[in-house]
Amino acid sequence: MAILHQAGDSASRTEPLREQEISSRAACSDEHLYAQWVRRYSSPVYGFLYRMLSSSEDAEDLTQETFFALYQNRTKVRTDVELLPYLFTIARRKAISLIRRRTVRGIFLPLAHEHEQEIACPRFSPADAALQSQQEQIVNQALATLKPKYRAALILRFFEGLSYPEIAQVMRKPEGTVKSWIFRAEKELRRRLLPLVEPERR
Amino acid sequence: MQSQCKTYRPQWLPYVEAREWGRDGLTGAEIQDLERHLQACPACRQQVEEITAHLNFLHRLAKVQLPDSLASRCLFDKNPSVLDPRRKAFSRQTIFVGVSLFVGIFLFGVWIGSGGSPATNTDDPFGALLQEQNRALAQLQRLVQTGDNETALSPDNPWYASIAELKYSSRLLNAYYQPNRANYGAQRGFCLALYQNIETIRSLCDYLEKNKNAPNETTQWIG
Repeated sequence: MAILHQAGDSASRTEPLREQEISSRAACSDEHLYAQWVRRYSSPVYGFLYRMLSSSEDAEDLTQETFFALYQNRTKVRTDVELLPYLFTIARRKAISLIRRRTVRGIFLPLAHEHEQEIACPRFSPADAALQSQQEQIVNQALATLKPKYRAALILRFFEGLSYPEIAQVMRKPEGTVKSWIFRAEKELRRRLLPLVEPERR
Repeated sequence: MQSQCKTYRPQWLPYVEAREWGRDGLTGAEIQDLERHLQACPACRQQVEEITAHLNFLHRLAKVQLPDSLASRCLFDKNPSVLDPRRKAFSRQTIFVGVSLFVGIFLFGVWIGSGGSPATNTDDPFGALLQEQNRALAQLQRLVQTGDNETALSPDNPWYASIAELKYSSRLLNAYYQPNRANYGAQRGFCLALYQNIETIRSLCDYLEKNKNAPNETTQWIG
């Protein structure tokens, strides 16, 4: 289950990893290197998937699947590029695929809320609800109302601290398109979270 | 000012990120230009305040921490079969079964559409007549059968050549009928020929039934 703690600046978290990665690649076996990757990157990958899917169970499963895909290709992974965008690329594809399947299921299920059809019916288990603060739940619900591509871009930018070129690399889109998506997503999310943010401004 | 605001609007997000967290995305000249506009435009100032409050709120949110066992599961449990079976609804196996089922139904439909087997299709008048003729021939064969062998007619039997010829003609009729079955006139003609064959066989059977005790006379009749 997801346990929450205070966030630091997520942008600084990924920066020192690359040089360590390259230096360790020569010295370690592939298995050892894979273990290092899991220790370093499982947290951001899980965080991204959790925000994308609003479900700790699905996020755990997809994190495992993402690292399984990395394990299968561990000998082919290039050492001269940052690994985290590659992992986010796999994770994003898996998350979007799951959201689509949920959407297909959602079409055949009666939905209580009209938004849920377009947000692909996120699952909030009672255990999640117990652990999440009220703010967390509202933010996750607001995130779930965004289109999956907007949601992914916004999470990568504001929660995982990736740069625009890195997000463009993950999303396989031009940088200008990604900027435009993030602009729209932030605007939409701000509109939805306004009642929550407004009292803090006063 | 309104049209200017429209051009500046997409810049406010990177501007706030650069101002609050020093993230790159805008040049120094661009930031100065934006700030000049901000001093003169209260609407844009309000928007920048809203964006700043929103991003600060998101940054203050609790970060999701990795569940304790997940890293070790990623390390040691590399078998994807542990994953949620609900999401495996469209696995390769399911797709294969679905496609096979579709192809099977399609081929069955094509077979039904083409009339299926002529010998078993009772809607086909020629097929029904063919079955009827075979039954009549079998009856004729039983009546002319002599000796102990019940399954096959002996070549020594005087009826052998006649029955073999009738069987051959029915096979020939069937072979010509199949390619021309769509032609209504041809269908009628073939059916009529078959019907006449049946009538001939039946009249022979009746004659043989009535003259069981006069085999020589019968042999003379067909000779």
